[in-house]
Amino acid sequence: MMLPNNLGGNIVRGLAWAGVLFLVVPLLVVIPVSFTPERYLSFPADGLSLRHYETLFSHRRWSGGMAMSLIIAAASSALAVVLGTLCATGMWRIGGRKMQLLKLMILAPLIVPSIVHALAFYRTWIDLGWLDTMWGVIVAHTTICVPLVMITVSASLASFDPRLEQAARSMGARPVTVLRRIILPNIVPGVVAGAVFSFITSWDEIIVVLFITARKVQTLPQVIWSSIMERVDPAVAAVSTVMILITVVIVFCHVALGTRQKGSRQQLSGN
Amino acid sequence: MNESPPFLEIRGLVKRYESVVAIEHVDLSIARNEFLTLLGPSGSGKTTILMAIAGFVKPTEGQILLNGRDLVPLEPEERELGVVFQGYALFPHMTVAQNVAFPLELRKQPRDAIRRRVKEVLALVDLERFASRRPAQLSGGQQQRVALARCLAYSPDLLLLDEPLSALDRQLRQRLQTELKTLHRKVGVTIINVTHDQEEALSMSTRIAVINHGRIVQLGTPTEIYDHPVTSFVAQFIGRSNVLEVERTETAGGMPVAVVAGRRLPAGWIGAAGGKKAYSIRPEHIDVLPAGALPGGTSDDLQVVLEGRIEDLVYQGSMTLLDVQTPIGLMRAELSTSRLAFEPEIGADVVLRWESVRGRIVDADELVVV
Repeated sequence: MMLPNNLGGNIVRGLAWAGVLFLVVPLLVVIPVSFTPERYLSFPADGLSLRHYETLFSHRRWSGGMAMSLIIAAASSALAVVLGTLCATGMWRIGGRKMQLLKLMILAPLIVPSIVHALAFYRTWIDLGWLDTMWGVIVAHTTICVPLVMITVSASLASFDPRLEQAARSMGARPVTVLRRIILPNIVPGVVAGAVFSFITSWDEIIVVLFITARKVQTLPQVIWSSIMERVDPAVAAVSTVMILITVVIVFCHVALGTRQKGSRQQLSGN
Repeated sequence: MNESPPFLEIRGLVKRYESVVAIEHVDLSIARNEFLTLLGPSGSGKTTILMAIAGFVKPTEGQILLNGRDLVPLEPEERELGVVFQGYALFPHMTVAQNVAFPLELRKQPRDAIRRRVKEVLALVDLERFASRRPAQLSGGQQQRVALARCLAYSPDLLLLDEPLSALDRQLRQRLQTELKTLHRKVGVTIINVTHDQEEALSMSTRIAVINHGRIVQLGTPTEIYDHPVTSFVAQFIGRSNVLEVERTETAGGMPVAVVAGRRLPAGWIGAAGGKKAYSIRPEHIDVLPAGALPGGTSDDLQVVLEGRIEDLVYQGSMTLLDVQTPIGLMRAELSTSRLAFEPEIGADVVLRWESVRGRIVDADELVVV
């Protein structure tokens, strides 16, 4: 829809842009700050420097945090994708009101405030002896990410024609074969979207991590948190820039892939 | 057919959902190489019967015996049937050739054999050139043929078709009807087809089972069903019929006679005795003549003559339909336009005439408005 080119239209347009700026500018502020040559948070006054980026890679604290976050995000998003996809597919197959209720329960981690379930993880992890272990964080993050995958995969399944499944079975395909050869290839967009959201969610999750880790496991958001608390280190700005960059790249790839797929499909149906 | 055991036998099939009865009670025997059509209006239970055979609907009661083996306890993938679904259900992420190869791969056939068979089957449906296309790049008729080829590839004994032609336009539908018939003859497979299209049923089937409210109302060859409908529903659903409520029936000179609104209408055939009856006459059997064209012509045992007035006229090119108000009700006549002896006009007085042997006295089950 095009906005009208009158006073009212211009006001709405201005508000929209103000909203966009309000969302984006605070993020962008860290970029110039990260290039400051000073040892404290400041805008670069005389000259730019990459020293804070160097810190990220030379200091074990930063590089270790990044590696830890990468491993945890990769592992928990992989686990979440497998569990979430199987779960969404199974519930789609069974269907009915009971599945609706179950779905609501599984989506609860998205609805309940993070702080509440950070506490819950903390309590449980004490008993399990998983506090301050990488495994503990992976399990917690998987729990948080499964509902994300379920949402995206369910959306893909909603447009999947159940007759394709019936057709495959009538030809002699067992349910596992149907899942692997017919259902999965058709819900790939949902699975990929779930993986991307999961990765990003785990990558910058801090609340739960603060509750269930101490010394041994230090994720990147946690390193940022503590270095801000201790002293204001411009390396935080550098790492923020890196994180923004990584997120933008992932989202961009996802969107680009998505539009390409949609484009080729439109091309097909146009024939 | 009666001597050898039937190829497929459905015994006492019942399907109830919580409060709704989808299949009331169905018994049906099908011989090898038959082309049987389950014909009925939507919601009649015909698709439920087909899906029960395919294994996607679990019957509440009854048996489905294929070569004497009960299919009911088997999973769909264990039944070795071919099913062409409504909308074809082609796998969108596979090419035409991959779609056709899929059931063969499931059967762990060697790669060479698969390639040969795919080629062979695609040639059968005349789609070799489209082997590397995706389903979305094909027209409806082509997709339909791929779906058929995919089933024929693994040579199932029984092929189930769920409204295979309903999504296609009229011309294409007629062409594919012929193709399906030819294919049936060539491949020698037993086919059960579900449709609501009576024309399709009449033109393709060796036998038709007319289904209504979860029951088989009539089972017979297309000619039997068309010429001797046993109920007013069948008379109106297959082809068109003028169906008139009968007050009582009698016999005169060996001919059954229906009394409708005080008039005696002799008929060529009467169904089983008892119950409420209806008199049915097909529009194409009614002759329309200008008033006064039959001086002294009256109803006798050989012909029925009725005076009336044209209420409506529909010109359809080769055919002209006339709705005529008569003392016994509104009657529809269907005349070949080229053989019309006069220029009919709305409001004109006319005389209707038909041969008594064309009339049918059938069970009055329900009057559908077509």
